[in-house]
Amino acid sequence: MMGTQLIRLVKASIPYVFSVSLAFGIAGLILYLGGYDVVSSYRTILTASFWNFNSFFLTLTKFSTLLTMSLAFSIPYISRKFNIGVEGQYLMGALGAALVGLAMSAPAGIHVVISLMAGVALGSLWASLPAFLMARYNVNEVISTIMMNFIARYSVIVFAMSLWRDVASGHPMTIPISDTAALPLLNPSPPLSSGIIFSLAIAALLYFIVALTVVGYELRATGTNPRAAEVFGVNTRLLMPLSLIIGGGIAGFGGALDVTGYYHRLIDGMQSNYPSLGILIALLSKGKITFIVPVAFFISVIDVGTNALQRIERVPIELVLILEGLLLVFILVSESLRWWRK
Amino acid sequence: MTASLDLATLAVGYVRSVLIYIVPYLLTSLGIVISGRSGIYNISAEGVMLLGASVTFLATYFSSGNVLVGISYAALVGILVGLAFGFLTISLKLNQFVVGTTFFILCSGFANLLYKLFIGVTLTPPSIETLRPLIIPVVSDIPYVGDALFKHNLLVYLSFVFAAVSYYVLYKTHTGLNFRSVGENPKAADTLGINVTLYRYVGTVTGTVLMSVSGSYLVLSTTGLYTETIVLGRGWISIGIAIFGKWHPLWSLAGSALFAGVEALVYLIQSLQSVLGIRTPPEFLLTLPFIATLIVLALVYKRAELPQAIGRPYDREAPEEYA
Repeated sequence: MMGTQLIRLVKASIPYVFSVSLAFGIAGLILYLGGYDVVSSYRTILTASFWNFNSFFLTLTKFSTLLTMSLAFSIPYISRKFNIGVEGQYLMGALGAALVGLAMSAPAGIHVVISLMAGVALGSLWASLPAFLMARYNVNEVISTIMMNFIARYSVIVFAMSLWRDVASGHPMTIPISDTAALPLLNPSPPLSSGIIFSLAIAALLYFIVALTVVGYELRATGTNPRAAEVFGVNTRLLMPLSLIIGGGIAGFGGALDVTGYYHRLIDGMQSNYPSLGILIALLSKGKITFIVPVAFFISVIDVGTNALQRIERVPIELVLILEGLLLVFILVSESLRWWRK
Repeated sequence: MTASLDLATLAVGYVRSVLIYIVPYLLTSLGIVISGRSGIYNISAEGVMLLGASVTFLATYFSSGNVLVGISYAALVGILVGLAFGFLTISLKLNQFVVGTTFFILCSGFANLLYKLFIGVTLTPPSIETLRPLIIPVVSDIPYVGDALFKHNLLVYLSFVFAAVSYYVLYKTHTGLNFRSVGENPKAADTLGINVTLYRYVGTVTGTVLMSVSGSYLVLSTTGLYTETIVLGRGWISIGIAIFGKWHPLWSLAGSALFAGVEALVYLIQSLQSVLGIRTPPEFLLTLPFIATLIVLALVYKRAELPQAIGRPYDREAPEEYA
């Protein structure tokens, strides 16, 4: 019994092992052609996160960002909607949190909660225009959410260059938010924000909602077969836009967590290429939250490692993006080749 | 500079810049339209354009300014990307939006990686010589009109010619009819002996080559520089143009003109502001094309006519094509 199960497990894992090796192989080839020492580069990429507490805490922080971003993509993705607007929603969430953190004064506990709520509100607001256009005019969400990304990027620059501009910096960014709006630290030095607890809690909550509640069931039904779901009384015309707005709220929450917990200010370009990484994580995990958590952690390890490598040897950080993208392509290919599994 | 608000000069300058800005929209939206007419919805345009721009810059830079080498490399990359896209979406029948999103990210990543590997991060980025204007004899001497319309680089004229040619081929030839039938009803086309797979590959590859060359134009037309923000949403807006243009080459030309008009307007207002001394954050104006896209999409989407089978993989053995 155990034997056959083991064989089945090995057989099932062949495409994934193959895909991971191929993706790492090609990225290694790029490193080699770029004139880098492949073995030591990979050693840095895979181990840098565990060198000391500082880099491990940084990995946890990036993990928190990537987790919220890929959750923000996957909730709409479960109902077959493509929320490529994660970036804009994240930025607007960050802007909302920064606005509250700068313009308001409130007691410590309350201030940070209002900041986070403002982030969620602005993030979901940013998704609700595409959601409205989808519900009312049938506009495809891919393009409309992307348009909102660009508008968000410019909004961040305008905000960062106006009232609370940090004049000491040459780059558009605001001055730090008040201390009362900062998330409490889990560890004082090296600092680790409690943001990671919140994003893991959100992941757990969403898992519960998707797996065990009626709304979650209807969401999955809509994604599997929208027409059948409609026939059986699921209001798909409401559910699809709603899933987009929820996604926006999650992304906005992620942005607010990063402002209140890590950057403590709004910075132009703070999203880096994490939205793309987050979307790829969600696609790799097929929108399944139980997969998203470990995959997001793995990608943040690689990301922190590559960033360390960039500082030491000037390896372009795009390598992470390419590694992850290739991994997705190879997994898609190996899963669809029928002769692999009999 | 004195404030010269001569209306005629202004109009000539405006039309001239519309023609300069129209090319990337036109080439990319034609690529999306041609691909879509064969049934493949390629949303990776933004990434393919950036890759085309990067490759064009590098190939031109390292061939000591040979533009033809630059464009050829971009076309070659377009072919490779198209074949890969086709393999995944046509042969393996994978979801076109998933593949498109992945390709957008992958191509953007490769574009920036290649530039960083070959050029690195420099204080003053290197530049290449831009395309020289091709002044058309006789007609370019017509006052105003000549300046506005007939003093552009070759790619500007070629993109218009290509729009006309693609209209002719798609709508006036037998091959074009076959081509469109593959995007409308592949099962019927297959029954009639039309090679669905071949037509779809041709459509996809033509599409990505156009997107990639559109990226070449961005580098070669005005600045001669490669930056990570050189495409700036034009690829995504071009998808909006294809939808606006009901997947028709000539309507896409009209849509491209509309968006080039908006883009030219942004820069016109900016220059007027500096002349008149009004100061608003430039970012407000820069959002205009994106807001315009949202408005246009809201206006046209209810009546949008997509090729019937766009986005759907064709499986000969599937019992119900439109389940």
